[in-house]
Amino acid sequence: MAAQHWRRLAASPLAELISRGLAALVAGYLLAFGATAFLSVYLPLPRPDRVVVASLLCFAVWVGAAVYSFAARRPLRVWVVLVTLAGVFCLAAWLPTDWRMRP
Amino acid sequence: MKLRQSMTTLHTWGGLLPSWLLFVVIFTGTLACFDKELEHWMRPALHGSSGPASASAQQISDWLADNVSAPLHAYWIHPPTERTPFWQLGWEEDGSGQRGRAVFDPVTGAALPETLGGDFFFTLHYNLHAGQIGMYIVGLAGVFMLAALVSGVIIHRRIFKDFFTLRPRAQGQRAWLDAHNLFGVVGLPFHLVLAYTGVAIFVAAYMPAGGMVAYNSDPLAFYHEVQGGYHRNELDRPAGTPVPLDQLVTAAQQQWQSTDTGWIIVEHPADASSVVSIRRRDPSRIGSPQDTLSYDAFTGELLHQQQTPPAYRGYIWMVGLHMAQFGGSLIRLLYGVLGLAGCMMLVAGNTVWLRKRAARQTPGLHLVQALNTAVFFGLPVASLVLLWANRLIPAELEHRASIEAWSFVLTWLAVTLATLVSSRQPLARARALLGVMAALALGLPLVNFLTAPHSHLLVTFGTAPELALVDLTLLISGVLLAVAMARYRPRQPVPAARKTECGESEVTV
Amino acid sequence: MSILAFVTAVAAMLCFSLAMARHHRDLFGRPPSRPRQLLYRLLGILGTALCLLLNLRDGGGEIGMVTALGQLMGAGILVGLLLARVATAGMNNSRR
Repeated sequence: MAAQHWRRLAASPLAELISRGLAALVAGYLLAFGATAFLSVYLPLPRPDRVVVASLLCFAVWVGAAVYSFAARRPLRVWVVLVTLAGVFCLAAWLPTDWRMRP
Repeated sequence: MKLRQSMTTLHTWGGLLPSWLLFVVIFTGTLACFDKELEHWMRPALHGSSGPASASAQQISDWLADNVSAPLHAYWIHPPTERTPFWQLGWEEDGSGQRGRAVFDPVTGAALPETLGGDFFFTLHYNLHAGQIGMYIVGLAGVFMLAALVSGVIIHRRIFKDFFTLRPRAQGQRAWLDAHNLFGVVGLPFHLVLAYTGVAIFVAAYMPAGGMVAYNSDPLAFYHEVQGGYHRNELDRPAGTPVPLDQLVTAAQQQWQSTDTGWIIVEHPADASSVVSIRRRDPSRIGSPQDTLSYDAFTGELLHQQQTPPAYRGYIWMVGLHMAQFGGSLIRLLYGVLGLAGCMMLVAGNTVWLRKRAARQTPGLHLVQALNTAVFFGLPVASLVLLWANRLIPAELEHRASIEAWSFVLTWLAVTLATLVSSRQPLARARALLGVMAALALGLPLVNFLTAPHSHLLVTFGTAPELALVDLTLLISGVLLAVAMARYRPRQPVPAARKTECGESEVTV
Repeated sequence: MSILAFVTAVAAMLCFSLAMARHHRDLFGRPPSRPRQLLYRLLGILGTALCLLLNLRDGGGEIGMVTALGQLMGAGILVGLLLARVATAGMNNSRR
């Protein structure tokens, strides 16, 4: 009985709204974070310029992720896509320990 | 259609949830465009005085040494300008980090009575007077606004066809939706640019990733390289005799071939490492100049001229574009009008949500209505009362700035409480508050006349137009508010069967 | 000079609005003919260009761009409000 109740709740429109909303906010920020780190390493510019340009773009990435969070067909897939992309970006940014701090 | 539906959900929740907070941010931001004009108006001791501006930076520095005994981390001075005709001083104490502020007459160098000034609205705008956490809250609201703007554009089907459409007599919430679209779409470049540049200003705090990955989270290295500035650590040795500040200002002016100096910043004044940095002013460009000169405080030796990397200059341009301190009054007038349009867009959108659900008796309706009244009316009323308090509180009173602040807060609370206990219909409440706002706006020039013999409209109209404009704006706003109150009357609903020649049934507005 | 620039902005926005059937009908009782529509749009573009030019001359490149855009947006809002007024007055008249 209780299990059925929880399953119904999880499938309700409110649950979907909260999931998409949280994805837009949290997973969106994570993607923006990853993208900023990635661009701060891989943009072909001197270091201070790389970091400033990458940082200024982060809000566009975040809003793009928010639009995706609501436009995508399945909310669960949104989480997977955003968090995975964020993870890949962060890995690619942090792994080259010396090169990422090049002037 | 699925996309429009999903974007409608994003737009509705992304817009509604932060709407009251965003109203505070946009309204105070609009007022803050004119913070220097408001601050000048709020200092009647300066009005009507004449004489050569003979006070000097050294005089201000001496006042600080005489009046503040705690060791200082840094202090900063700004010379008088056309919009701020007085010397400004700020300081931060070592250790406690406590900050202080004072303002000085440009002729005598005497300290002026304190007031919240226009800076009150500016601070309320970017951090709600809640320090770091407030800054993060405002930033989050800004990102919500960007999401609402983008999703709004995606939803709006007939964005060009309906460009100028406004049908005030239309049914239900159609009129409010038209208004929301008119102010939103026509002003879209402004809303987008200001929301984006607004969150971009504190990007280093909101998005630390760049500094973390490329500078190993070393803040000093990050700021030093990105800003191209100069920093010298404390040497923990006692200070020598400082070179007179005016000498350094003159040297800077010679270096730049310009007399427009801005902030004079003195770091670690009590330590042998003390550095005096002088910034240039140039309101003819959007981005402020980034060629700060740094001098040794005791030898006067030029230590460094700021060399900014190009991307940071781009960032400074974005900051300048947001702050609207460039150009002249035309820029500020345009930003003011468009800022108000932003407020109207927000209120109209909120009203659409309300009306759509009014018939359905949705839960939360009363809460939204109460918040609407408390915020959309409370904030302007409290702002007007603040200006009244500025004129009514005597100059000699200690802590008069605190009293001004309390009058603002208590008024806002009073409006909120009155809203909560009121048994009137929302429409009647709104009309009553419009009337209060009109009375406050129209009454203020009169209060000005009664309390400040050099500051009121009859005197300033010819001699000090920047002051007169404040009173004139109050009068015009008061008249418009009174007109709004008179017209915002519920009209008798027409029976559903009857339609006018225009084919639209007449309904209560 | 900025007043002149603003007037051109308002004129341009007015022309753009008159190219639309709804607003042309509110003012003249009938939708615009196709050649008329093109003429209004062309005038609108010219007015916008003129506003831009006047602002660039007054304030220089950077600031002129900003004031031009600001004036155009302000003019758009003003024209929207004016058209609403005219349309409502028209409704009132037709009912008498």
